[in-house]
Amino acid sequence: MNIVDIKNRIKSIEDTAKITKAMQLISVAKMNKALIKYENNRPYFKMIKHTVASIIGRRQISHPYIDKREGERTAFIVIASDKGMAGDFNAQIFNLAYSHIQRAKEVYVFTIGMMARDFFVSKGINIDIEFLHTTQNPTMSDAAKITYDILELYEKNLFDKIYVVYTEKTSVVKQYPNIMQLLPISINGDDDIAQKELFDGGFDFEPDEKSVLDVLITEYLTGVLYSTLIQSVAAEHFKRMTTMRQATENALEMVADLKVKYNRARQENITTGILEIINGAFFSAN
Amino acid sequence: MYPLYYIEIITPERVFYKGMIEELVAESLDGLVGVLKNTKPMVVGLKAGVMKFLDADGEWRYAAASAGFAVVKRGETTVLCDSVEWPDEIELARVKKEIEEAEEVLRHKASYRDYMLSKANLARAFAEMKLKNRL
Repeated sequence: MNIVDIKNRIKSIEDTAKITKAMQLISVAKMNKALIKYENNRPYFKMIKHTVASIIGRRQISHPYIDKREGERTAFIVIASDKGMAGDFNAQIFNLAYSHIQRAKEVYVFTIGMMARDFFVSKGINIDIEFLHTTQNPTMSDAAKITYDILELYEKNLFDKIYVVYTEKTSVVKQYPNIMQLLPISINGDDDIAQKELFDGGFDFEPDEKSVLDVLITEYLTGVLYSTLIQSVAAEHFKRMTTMRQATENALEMVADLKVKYNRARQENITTGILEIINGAFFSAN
Repeated sequence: MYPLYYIEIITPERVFYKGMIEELVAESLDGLVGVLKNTKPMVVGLKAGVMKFLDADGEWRYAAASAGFAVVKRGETTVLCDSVEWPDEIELARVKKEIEEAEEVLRHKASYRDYMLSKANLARAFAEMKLKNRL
């Protein structure tokens, strides 16, 4: 590589580093915002999962949203991001979703986020519903819309099961892709919460079982969907931040290496230049 | 004075209130329900409405709540709702606008989702209005 090439390359890598640095800073700001929402949401998420698990786990309860259906038609809500450049954040979600989708017999796919749509289109899988504009700043009303949409489809008997594939955040730095069954409501796979008893003895429903469950289940679905959206957004920004920090570090490392090369090449140029002059002077003196 | 018990009022967006209270009065699906420390354990379905509780200082505090439910245990109660707001967080202008919007949707033939959503929003907005007007 000659000296001009090296110089150009240093320049371009430095520019890239500036961009990744800027993206990292933006992600930090967005992540902090998302993390606040996530922290505020955590007690609710835990409590509602615990409550629903212990209510339906303890009793023989019959409700259209709890009873298992015979069929094999499965729907998946896949929550990814709108933008890339977030390391393997989206890829992890897609791997998990895709492995489940391949095992299922009849599949319906609902996507949240542009990246999810692009992924399924590229795999040739039909997308049945796209929920747009919910990944940037999810609100309770976004979650409520999704809840009512899936409840309507479920009541019309279009699928027998529905799962949500999302990124679960267990702490600020810990996150992993997860799949959770939304309907029919099931406590299977819900780690430790089902074991803890909510009530020591018996309990009543006020006014009656069915009307309480109607409220409870809508509330549960909205709450859980909101939580999964919030967690996914926080996880996305966290991943993007770390990825961009890594990218910036790598770029700066490359620049340092290239600068050494550049100096060496420059030194070489000077040395050859001086040698030529000395030689020239030597021969002309003779 | 009744014995105090622990209450948590939680929404997906925040922990609205936690602490010791004496009594909680909320609107259940079929009328007002009061909860004291030794009320029998139950799960109560709540509709949107005004909720009040008597805190440890002996002062009634009011809040507007959306639909939700309360888990009543002996000595501990948890209320889970989509949204709960203190009176001073409610802006009448915003509430009125929400009511108008929801009614507009309900007047037209709306989809299932929009119908349910607007009905829930309307109920919450009316609860907020009610709370604001009584003070």
